[in-house]
Amino acid sequence: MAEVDLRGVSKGYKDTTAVDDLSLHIKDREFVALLGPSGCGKTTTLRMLAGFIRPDSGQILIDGKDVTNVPPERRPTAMVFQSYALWPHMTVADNIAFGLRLRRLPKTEVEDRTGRMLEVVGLPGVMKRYPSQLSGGQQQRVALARALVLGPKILLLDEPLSNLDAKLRVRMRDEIRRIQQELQITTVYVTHDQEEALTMADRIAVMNKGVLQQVGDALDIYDRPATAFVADFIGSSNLLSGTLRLAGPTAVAQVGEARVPVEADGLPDGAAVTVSARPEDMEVLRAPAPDAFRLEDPRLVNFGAYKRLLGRHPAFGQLEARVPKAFALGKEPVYLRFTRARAFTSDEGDRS
Amino acid sequence: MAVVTSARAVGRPRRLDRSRAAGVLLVLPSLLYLTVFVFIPVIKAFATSFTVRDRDDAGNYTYRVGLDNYNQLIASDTLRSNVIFTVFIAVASVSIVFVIAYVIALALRFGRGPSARFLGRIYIVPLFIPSVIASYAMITFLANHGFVDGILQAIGLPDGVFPKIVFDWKGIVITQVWLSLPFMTVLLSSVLLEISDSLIESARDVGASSWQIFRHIVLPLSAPGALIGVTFIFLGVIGGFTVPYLLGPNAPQMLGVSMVYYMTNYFEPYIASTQAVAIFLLSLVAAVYYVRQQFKREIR
Amino acid sequence: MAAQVPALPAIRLSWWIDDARIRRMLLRLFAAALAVFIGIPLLTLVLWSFAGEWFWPNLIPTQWSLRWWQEVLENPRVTNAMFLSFTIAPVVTLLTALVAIPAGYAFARLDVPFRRTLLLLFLIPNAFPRIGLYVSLAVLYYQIGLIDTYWGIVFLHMIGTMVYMTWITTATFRSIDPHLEEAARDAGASPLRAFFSVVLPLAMPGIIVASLFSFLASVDEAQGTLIVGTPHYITMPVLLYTLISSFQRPVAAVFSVLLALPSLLLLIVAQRYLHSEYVAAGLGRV
Repeated sequence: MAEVDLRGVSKGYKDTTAVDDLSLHIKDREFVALLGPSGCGKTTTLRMLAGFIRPDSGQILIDGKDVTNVPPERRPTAMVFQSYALWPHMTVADNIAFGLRLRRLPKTEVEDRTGRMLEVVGLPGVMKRYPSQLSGGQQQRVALARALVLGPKILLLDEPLSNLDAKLRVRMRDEIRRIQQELQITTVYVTHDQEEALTMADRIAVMNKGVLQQVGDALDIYDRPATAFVADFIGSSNLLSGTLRLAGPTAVAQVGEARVPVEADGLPDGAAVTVSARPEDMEVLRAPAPDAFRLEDPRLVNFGAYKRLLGRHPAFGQLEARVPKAFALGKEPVYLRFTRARAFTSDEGDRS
Repeated sequence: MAVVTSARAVGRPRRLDRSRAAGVLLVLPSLLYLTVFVFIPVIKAFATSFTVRDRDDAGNYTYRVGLDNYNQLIASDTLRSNVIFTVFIAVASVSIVFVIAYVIALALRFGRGPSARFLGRIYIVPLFIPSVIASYAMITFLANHGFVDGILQAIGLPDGVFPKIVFDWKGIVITQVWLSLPFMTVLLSSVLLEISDSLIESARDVGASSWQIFRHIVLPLSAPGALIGVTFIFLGVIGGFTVPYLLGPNAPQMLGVSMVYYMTNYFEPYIASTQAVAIFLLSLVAAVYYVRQQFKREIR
Repeated sequence: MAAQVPALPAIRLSWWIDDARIRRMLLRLFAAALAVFIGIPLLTLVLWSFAGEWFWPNLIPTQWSLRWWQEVLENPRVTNAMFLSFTIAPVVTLLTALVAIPAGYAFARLDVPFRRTLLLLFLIPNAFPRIGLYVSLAVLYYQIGLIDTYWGIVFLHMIGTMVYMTWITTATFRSIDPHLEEAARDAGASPLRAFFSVVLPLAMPGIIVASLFSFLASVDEAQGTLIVGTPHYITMPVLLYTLISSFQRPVAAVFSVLLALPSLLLLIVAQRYLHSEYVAAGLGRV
């Protein structure tokens, strides 16, 4: 069993708070992605899990044991560094075997495990080579093998794919996921790339400015963002500000000249809200409607499988909608209606 | 019909020629200087060492080429023990300063807190003290009835027990360590800086203790660069004059000192030159290694 | 998944390094020992220079006095030696700079034939034991009449400084982005103008460090000057040799302090240039 429990973990530096009161529970064998822009605290959190940084407050528990003060060499975690951190003066085999030899395993067992792990990561036959003789993708796999060969309870990955080119990245994404599934190991994966997070992880923890915004699976995060930040960061959103009006069970936001039906869990009547709507949740009308916006200077951008309709709104700036590829603009004005929108309190932006 | 072919069309582009000419011109003065004041003396030293001066029955000097000087170097007990003494001191000094400097460099690289910062300020001081002064300071510090002797006797050491350090090999080694410390530390510091933090962290992550990280990661990765510093110090100590002159015993002498004596006191430039070449040959391996490594690191 | 890998046994050997408290204490002891090793010898000299009377076994002088300072500063031999040392050093530094800076620029930027071999040759003075070189040079001086002359000493001092200067300036010029120079040329500056307006100012920190070390090397130079400078040209270090040998302790101590003062002053003044990279460039790369 390998569960991770972060309870109220905080870490601050001279004038910034890197991580602010973070609480997160990671289940056994789960693949959790820490997702957010640079500076959001995800790497700091990961390094606290690994033991390289001591939190200012809060606790870190692995399988119920408090490891907050345990140094990295004694934690059941293994990390794959962003730069791979392969020791340049050792061969691939020595890099992987290093930890095994520290534990005084017999030579045959060391060789056995090293060879097997290289097969698991798909790299048989590079044992005698040096890191400088390997490609980026191969180095990455070696780093992975080195971490996994010790049979850690928790695997930590710090933006492992950021140094690879686009095509290789997609391939390695699947590889890492496959290996994780095969070994059934609890994994925490830090990335700023939402595509990676959405495609690889069981659950995603979105962070911004040190604060955990939302934890959920891909559908939760995408379809039911908990904060304006999540709505904006994941996929694309149009964000507009308005006032909330409750009329019984239905919620409507007065956004500029339109009254837009919104999902607004628990927000009070009259609240200043940010309304977010995804481009694919828009309908284009050729005539005005009470819940539609007039789009000025409309133009189309062709993406092949679909088109984007871009335009300006005098109050809200740039708006965009996704339209089918056959869509064409005529001379008449266009209006956008939101078929689905969420409302968040205006001042929150950062807290869930 | 005449075909006019421009000479320029088939020649090299002018720009490159100008660059080469300028390059040669700019380097020439320094090259000239080195030839006259370094290369020629070195060649002369070699030539002189193979020149044997005989006195014939009429009292005239005759000169011939021969290995007699070298034979004398090996056969003479004094000279032979000088050679051994020189090598011994060089090896001892280099080993000790390496260890101390490495500790300082490690503290500077990985240490935090006031002690590390203090070390960072103080290790550079000997660099600014001329070797003559350092030698003299060490004499007053380490002599019998000097400062250290005084302190030890104040806490109970009986008189006369303090070992002879000044005018002894120990004095030379200690002073050379003192003088070489800044250089060695700076070099090791810059070498350690090249080892990125993530290499250390990943070793900790797989469970290595500080000692194991040092032995398996830091030391091997720092070795090539460290060796440059070691060879440089070795070359300096083996060819040193000031420190052994002021702090050394009368016998055996380091080759640098005996060389000068043969030159200025005995007026024997031939044996003196032979000793110069001997020092050079002793440090040849170090010199070659130094030049090759320095070259590899600097020229890309 | 495969059977668990055994946990690491407690590492007995280095528990004392890993314990932060013990490590801190050891480091503190080491720093204190080093402070004593480096500082106290120098302190003793300073004490001796102010010692009116200092008999064994007192740990500090029994009587303080300024009379040795007076004696030294009034001694014409001393003042002459000081004058000589501090006028030779700038000349040496300047000459070396004039010769080495163009060479450094050429090595860094221009197409010099046999560039690699030449740079290698510049390392020879360091590879051949210095005293052997000086002795051989003395023989040469006898033959060409440079023995016991001002310029003989200057040229000898330049051996040490030339190596520093050339390598440091080469490295410094190489580190300057060539585009900066090209932009100056593009704006209409001649190569010479571009050099003086753009390249030289940017190279200044490195050149200053190199000049500093050259200056110090010249002031410190004792062994070669002893051989080729006697009997008429006695620099400070050479004079110190005689003073030390004749056991005039307080006088020699005063003189040492005098000789060390400019160097230490330079240390303080140059603090801001003394980053690890620069000092490494000054020492390690040469």
